[in-house]
Order: sequence, then structure tokens, then C-alpha cells
Amino acid sequence: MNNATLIISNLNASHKREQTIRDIEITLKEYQSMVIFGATGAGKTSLLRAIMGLDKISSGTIQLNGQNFHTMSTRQRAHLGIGYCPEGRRLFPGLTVWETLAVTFNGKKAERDRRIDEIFHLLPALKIKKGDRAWSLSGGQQQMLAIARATINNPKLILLDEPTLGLSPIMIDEILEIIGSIKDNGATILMAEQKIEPSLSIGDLVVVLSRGEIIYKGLSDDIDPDQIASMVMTGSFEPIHN
Amino acid sequence: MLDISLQIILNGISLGCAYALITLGFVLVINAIGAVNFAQGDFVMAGGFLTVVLAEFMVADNFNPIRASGVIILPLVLISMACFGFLFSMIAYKPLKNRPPVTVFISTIAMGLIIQHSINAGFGPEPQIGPALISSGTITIGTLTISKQQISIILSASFLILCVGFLMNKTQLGRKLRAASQDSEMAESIGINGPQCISITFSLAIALAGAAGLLLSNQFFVTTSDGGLYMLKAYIAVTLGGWGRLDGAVIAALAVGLFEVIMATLVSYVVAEALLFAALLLVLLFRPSGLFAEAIQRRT
Amino acid sequence: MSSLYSRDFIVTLIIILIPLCLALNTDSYGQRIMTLSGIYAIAAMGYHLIFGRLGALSLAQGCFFGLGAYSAGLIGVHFGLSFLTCLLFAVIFTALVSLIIALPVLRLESHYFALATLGIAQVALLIAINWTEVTGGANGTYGIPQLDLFGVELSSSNDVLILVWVILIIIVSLTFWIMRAPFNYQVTLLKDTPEVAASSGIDIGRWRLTFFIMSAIFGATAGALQAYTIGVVSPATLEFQVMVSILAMTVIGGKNHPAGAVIGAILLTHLPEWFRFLETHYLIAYGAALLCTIIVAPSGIFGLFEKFIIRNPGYDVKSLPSKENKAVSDANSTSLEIQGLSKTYGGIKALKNLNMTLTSYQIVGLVGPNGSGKSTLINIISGLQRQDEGTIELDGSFIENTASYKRSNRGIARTYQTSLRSSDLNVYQAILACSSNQHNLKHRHNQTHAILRNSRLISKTEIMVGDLSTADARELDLCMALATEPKILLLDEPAAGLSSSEQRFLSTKIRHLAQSGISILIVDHSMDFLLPVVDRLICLDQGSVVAEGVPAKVLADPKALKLYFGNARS
Repeated sequence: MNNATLIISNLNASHKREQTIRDIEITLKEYQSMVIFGATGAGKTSLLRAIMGLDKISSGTIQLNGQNFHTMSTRQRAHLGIGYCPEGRRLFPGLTVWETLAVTFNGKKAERDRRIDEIFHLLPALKIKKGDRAWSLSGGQQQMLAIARATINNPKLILLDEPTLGLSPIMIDEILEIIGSIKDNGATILMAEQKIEPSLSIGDLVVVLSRGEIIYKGLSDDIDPDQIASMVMTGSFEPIHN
Repeated sequence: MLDISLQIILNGISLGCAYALITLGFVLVINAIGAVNFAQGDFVMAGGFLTVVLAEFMVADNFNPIRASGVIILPLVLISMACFGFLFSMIAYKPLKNRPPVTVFISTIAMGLIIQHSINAGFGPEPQIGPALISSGTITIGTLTISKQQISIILSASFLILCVGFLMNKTQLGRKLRAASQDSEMAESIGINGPQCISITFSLAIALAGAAGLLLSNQFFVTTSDGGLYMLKAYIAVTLGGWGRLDGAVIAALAVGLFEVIMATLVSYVVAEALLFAALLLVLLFRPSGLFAEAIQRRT
Repeated sequence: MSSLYSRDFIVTLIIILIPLCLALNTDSYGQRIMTLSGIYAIAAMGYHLIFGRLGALSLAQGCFFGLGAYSAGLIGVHFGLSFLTCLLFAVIFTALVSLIIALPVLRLESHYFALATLGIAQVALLIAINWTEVTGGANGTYGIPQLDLFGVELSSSNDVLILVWVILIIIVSLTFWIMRAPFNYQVTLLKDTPEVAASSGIDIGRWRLTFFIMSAIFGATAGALQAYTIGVVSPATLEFQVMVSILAMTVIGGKNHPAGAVIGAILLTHLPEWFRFLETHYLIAYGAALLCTIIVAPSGIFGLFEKFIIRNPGYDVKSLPSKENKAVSDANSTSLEIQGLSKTYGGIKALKNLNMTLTSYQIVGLVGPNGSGKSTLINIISGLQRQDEGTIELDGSFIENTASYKRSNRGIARTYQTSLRSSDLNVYQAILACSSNQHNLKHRHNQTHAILRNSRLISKTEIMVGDLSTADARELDLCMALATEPKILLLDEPAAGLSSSEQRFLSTKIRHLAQSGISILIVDHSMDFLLPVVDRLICLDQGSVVAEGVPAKVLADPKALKLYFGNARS
């Protein structure tokens, strides 16, 4: 299976000239996954965008399996094996479910059809809607499609940006279950989230960001949701006193 | 009486088909870069002149009129115009891709000027006539007399429109072009080469303009000052058909062509033009998103 | 009077007078070409206003030129009135036409506006060609009388040249008068960030209408002069080539400055002389020059000149009056009452029957997850979006259907999540542009100084807005909002991207503002910033208030915590 090791060191990046993340250090071993928490504006999205090459990196390095890729273009990173599911899903509204998967897949036709069948098997809700255009899908279906798009090429690293955003509680559970099964298949996942309790189990590791900096890093087993909540809220590693 | 009105309708449809090719190219570029290609009409005219030149060259080589017919020249025009389109995107779009759309608008106005007046310098302002697609003359079916040229315009334009439809909807390249034009950053994130897609779109759009130039060059002649009017017709069709919609654009272009021919026959050409612009202003006033428009995110 | 304004005017006058003096000493052929330059410079001056300053791509300037030529020419031929009478008629006629056109067309955005104006120009051309009995059809009308002034015929090319250029100087002066401070800054703000302009009390519609009509008046003046100097009006004056020439002159000369229009006009009318080998195909050169300019030097020749030769002198803060002016008007008790506010888009309810009150001296914090309706609420209060239902009451009068700029005039100010990133204004100009319209210029300058004195931007008044750091840009947003003399201040994520010390500075400032009587609503995610500063905290979810009260109470509310952080404490 995949043998991913992500090493991010001393990463600084900016979006439209505003520095968004500062001195980020993250190491992710094979099969490991990490959840990034933080208030809106803390730098979760920016970190994932910087890894994908969508935001400008001012200093620092990013390595996947020993290969530095922070100088590559976004396109090259996609071909290197990074799957990206952005905030707000950003599907191609006029493409159908099947077309979205087909246009993303890199490889021969027969292989493509086999892989799409696999996805449809995993996500039967998408199979029913395979001829529908993306804009007409429900929020949950759109999110499933966005996740399917990020995983169809069996990437070494999957970046998920708030996959539960704007979904109903039942749908949140379903989406997180899907992500859990992708993780169990041996994928390496880096996920940004705001909903702490339900998503904590996805990560082996937890990172909390505040104002673009890491304020906490550790194993998810070592910390409970309340502690994370107070860190997110206060932006510091000390619990709040009411 | 029946055959006259049928003749008029055929006339309108054939003109509308040519307009549809121009408009398709126009919309493809709008979707891909979010800006208007003001030189689209001048490329129609350039395609017409290229046709005239190719036809003369072929006839001069060996006195065989079949070899100089439009159908033979069409692939050549398509290929060379596609090359021009690529060059055009390199000059008029690529240096400006991070600037506001209005900048591209002006750069294409400038390119239109250069194209129009360069051809004018070479050929002069007199109208030129291109070759018939297959042959001129008419077919008589029962009491109906139909011009072969019009039938072949309608057939070849429909063929090209279907090809574009097939390309955009059924091939991986088409899916890539659509994905890149709907969200270029996301397209890059799944490994699609965005700049390449834009160049291909320009090539396709300008090849279509060239084809329209060829189709129109026989019946309507080709004059260097034609470009502006063709561009306006495409512009009107796009607005009527819903900004950014391919199917709407084709239908609206057919409607514009039909309307123009029918009104010109019944009243006068000037009235036809004036009414078209009046209709355009009314649409802009009451339904700025077009007659067949849906919400932006629903465009195909 | 600002030094920059007079300096710019002098530079422009020099740019006009030097070639004029040179032309007065040449042969009559050279003078005729300079006359043409002057005529086109007048038309380009109008285009400079609508396209250069406002950024609206009008394609009707050629049409206005032609309308001016036809109306002045035909009146001259048929009624034998004096030139000035004909000119006046042409200007009034064209201005009226532009007013009628403006009604449907002016509210259209970019491409639609360009298309609609082009369509109108095309209709005008068709009429000119086909209404033969009036216009003379395709051949036009000959025999327009010679230019005259108060009964004296101007027969020599010298006299004509002087008349045209004197009119040009009048038009340039008029342009500078229209664009006097602080209106020039307001217009720049309008062009770069229309939303910020609207919520700073600047009426977009009025400016667009003014500039469109001014462009028509200048175009018509040029057209009338053209008709009288060549003695003919023909459909050629209405053709697209005229439009393209004016566009090329404005862009090549430099679209952001009146001097650019003059330079462009002189250059492009002489270009066919310099490139005689092009014969009648000089439009190829126009196209090539236009293309090069737009790619290489988008601010045109004058832009380059300005960049390399003239330095911006900026403002000497110390030399201006140091009299203490209170930055903020004394707001007695003000209140904003929001009742039953609902908003739905795309099938999603962004706000559901929301009630809220803001009062003087109080700071309210608004929190909630993404998509809970915070931004929608601020947008609706400031008038950027309209509610489906509900009322907003400011000091006893309902304002929910009032335009954004009027709400600003009545005391509602706001900042935006993304800071102003306009590049053509410096800090001082940006604040001055937002200063309240109710005062005279001197008061506005004083007020700007007062605001700057209370800000750390006091040492950065000459820095261009685009070059500010994140923290300074946010500070500028706040200063611009304060310049409108707000009673209600809405801050959308004011602390985003700020360091802890910068946040503390901001907190102190916000407190001071509240103590002066302003009512403040802050949306922010950073709790460590919000908690110490706010008096009241409102927690929003899916468009409704789920918890409200003093911060400690809201923080202890399990409902609020659950929604903000998932099932954290369930």
C-alpha cells in the first residue's frame, strides 16, 4: 500500500499578501491521519491550500516520501498523488457525477470504469445520481462527490477541508463514517475541522491552530474534546476560567 | 407562394447556422476566461478571406473547379484558423490573464483592428466572393426549388455544431475544458493543465469563426469591414441565449438569423437590424441574464 | 486647496500649451492636424471620465461625437445660426439623448454596458445612413458654414486652431473642477471598491450618471467642432472607427489622467503623418500601439511619465491646521432596532426572524459558526443586501429600504473582512474620500487630520493603500469608517490576521470609540479578542439567536458551546 510520510517544516505562507500561516511543523507517518482544529481564520484552510500549492509559500519545505514538492505547481502536486477536497466542495457545477469522476481520473478507460464502479459501490447514493449535474445534488451528495473526486486516483495524501460544513447532523455522521473507512483502507489523511467531538476519532494526531500558528500538537488519545474546545475558543493552551 | 416562404426560411436557417458557429466560439471563450473576445467577428472575416485565397490558389494550380470547392477547403481553414487562435491567445490573452476582464476586452479590440486593417491593406475594401460549398445551382423536389448552397451550409454547420457538442460532452478533452472553465483553480488541483485548456478553447473558438467565414463567403461575399457586425450578432445571440450557455447560444443564433432574413424580406434590412438592437436593449432592460437563462451555477 | 490638485492642473496646462505654441508657428497643414488633435482631445477627455476614472467601458463615445457633429452641422446648414448657438444646441441635444440612454443602460455591469452602448451607437449609425431626407444618407450633408465667433468668421487655420484649443482648455479646467478633492478620491474609491464606496456614503448612481452625461457633452462638443472645421457631416463620424480611435487615444495617452487624453490625441492624430508608408492603413498602427500599451504600460504614456519623472509630493501633515477637531460627532443616545429580519437565498434560510438592538456606548459581539448568518446580517444592516422580511429602525425611522450610501449618511458605517486594496490612493486620500459629505472641504481636511492623529497611521499618510501591512490596512478600514461620522459602527472581523499586541491596540481603540457614544457591533472568531472587549455577546446559528447576554453567561450556555464546537460538551 501507500507509504506516505509527510514532513512539513518551518512553513510560512500567505494569501493575497497577507501572511496566513507561520512556522508550521508537521510530520505524518505512513497510515497516520491528522485532524486540524482552530477557529475560522486560524489558518486551517490556508495550510491545506499551501500544501496543494494554491497559496504562496514564503519559506519552508514540504516533503512527501522524501521528495520535496513545495516548488512544484498545483498540477504537478496532483499528479504526485495528493487528493484535495476544498472548503465549500467546489464541484464543477455543470459536470455530472460521472463526468466529474471521469475527468479527474488519470489512466486507461477500462481502469477508470472499474474505479468508478468501486466508488459507486462504496457510495451508492452517487450511483443513483450519476447522470445528474453537480449543482443539482443535495449538500451531502455534493460532499460525497467531492470526497470521491479527491480519492479516485488513490492518492498518497488526502487533504480534506471541513467536509462536514453545512451538513445536517445525520449527514455529518455519514460523511465522517465514509472518511473513516477511507482511512481504514490505509490512506494518509490531513483533515481540517470545526466539529470537534465527531471528527476527533478520524485523527491519530491532533493539531490546534490559532492565528496561523500551531498552539497544540499531540496524539488524539491524549486529549479530550473539551480541552480542544477551550483552546480553539481562547486561542491559547490554557483553559478558560469563567 | 409556399416555395418562396420556404426559400426564405431556408435562407434564415442557413444564416442562423453560420451565426451559431460564431456564437459558439464566442461563448466558449467567455466561459473559459470570463471575458469577451471582441475580435471574433474579425476572425469570421479573416476566415472568409483565407477561403478566397485558398480557392484561388487551388484553381490556379489545376483548373479543376471541384478541387476548389468549399468542402475541400473547410478542413484547411479549420486547421489554419485554429493555429491563428492559438497565436491570438498567446498575444492578446496570456500576458493579461491576471488583469481585469475589461483589459482583455480592449486587447481584443486592438487585435480586431490589426486583423481588419491588415487584410484591408492586402486586399482592399472591395467585396470578394468565396467558392460554393459543393456547387451552386438548385435542386427541384416536386414544386420546390431549393438552392444547393443553402442546404450544404445548413448540413456542414450542423455537422460542426454536433462535433463541438460531442467534443465538449463526450470526450475527456471536452470534460477537461469544461472543468477548467468552471473552476480553474480546482481544475489545477485535480491535475488539469488550465493554461493549455484556455489555448485549446481559443483555437476551437477561432476555428469555428473561420468556418463561419467560409460558409458565408459565397452567398454574402466577404468584406473587410464585416467583422464588427458579425461580432454584434454573436453578442446579441449570447445575450438572448443566456450568458455562457452553449445550447441557448445556438438556438438564439438561429433565431437571430431567421428573424433577420424574414424581416429583411418583408420590410427592409435596416428595420431588421434596428428591431434586433431594440430587442437586445429590451432584454437587457428586463431580463439582463438572458431569455433562457438560469442561475449562473446552473450553466452547462 | 490641495497642492496635488493644482500641480496636476499646471502639468496638464503645460502639456497643452507647449504643442500649441509649436503648432502656431507651423504651416496651415500642420495647424489643421493640430486642430484635429484638439478636437479628439476634447472627445477623449469625456472618455477619460467615464472609462478612465469610473472604469465603465462605454462604447457610445463615438456615437456622442457623431450626434454632436450631425446636430450642430444640420442646424448650421438649415437655419444659418451662429456656431456657438449650434454648439449649444448640439450639446443639449446629445446630453438629453445620453440621459435617455442612461436610464436603461447605466445600471448594467461591464460587458452588458459595453454591449448596450455599442448597440445604441449602431442604431444611431443606421438612422444616419437611412434617414436620407434629414441626414443626407450615406453621402452626408455638405455646406456647413465656416466657424464663426460673435459674428466674425474664422477663416484662417490659425484662428480655428486657437478656438479649438481654447475650448479644450475650458474643458480640461471643467474636468479638473469636477474632479476636485475630495471627489477625485471618492471616484477612485468607487472604481476600485464600489461596495466600500457605497457604505462610505458615496452615491454610485449619481457619479455614473454625471460622468456619462459629461462624456456625452464633451463628445458632442468635439463632434460639432469637427463638423464645422471640415464642413461636412457624414455617417463616417458615427462609425466604430471613431470610437476605437478615442479609446486608443485615452488608453495610450494614459487613461487615469486628463493629460493622458491630450497626449494620446496629439500622438495618434500625428501618427499617420509619421508613418506615411502605412497610407490609409494607419489603424493597424493604432491597434498595435493599443495592444502594446495595454500589455506593457496599462497606465499609458502619462502613467510612465508620472512614475519616472514626477514624484508624488504627498501631504505635509504638520503644515495643516492643528486645531483639535473631535473625530466623532457627539452622538446622543442612538439606537438601532432590528425586528423580524429574514433572508433566504438559494433555498437556504440565512436569517430567520431575527431581533436585535444596538445602543450607544455599547459594544456587542456576534459569534457563530460559518454560514450562521453573521455576514448576511451586517450586509443587510449596511444596505448591501436586502431582507425578505423585517424592519430596521434607526432612531425612530425605518431604514430597511434605504440605499446603502444614504444609510451611511445617516450614521451607519462598516468595515469589510477583506481590507481595501485600492492602489491609486494613499492613506490620507482614502480617509478624505470617506469624510462626510455634509461638511465643506476645509472641515473635511480637519476631520481627516483629527482621525489620523488618533491613529498610528499618522506617520504613514503618504503610503499608498496597496502597500500597507495587514494590520495597517485594517486600521485604515476603521479610519475610513470613522470619517463618515458613524453612530453605529459594524466591524466585520476586525482582528483577523492581527498579532496579539495589534489586537490589544485595536481593543483599546474600540473601547474609546464606544465611550464617545458610538454603538459598535463586532463579528469575530477570535474569542480572546472578543471576550474582554464586548459588553454583550450574541451567538447565532442558522440565522437565529441561540444565546445572548454578558460573555460569561453565553460561554456557560451549553447550547452555544455545542453548536460552535460540535458535541463537545454533550
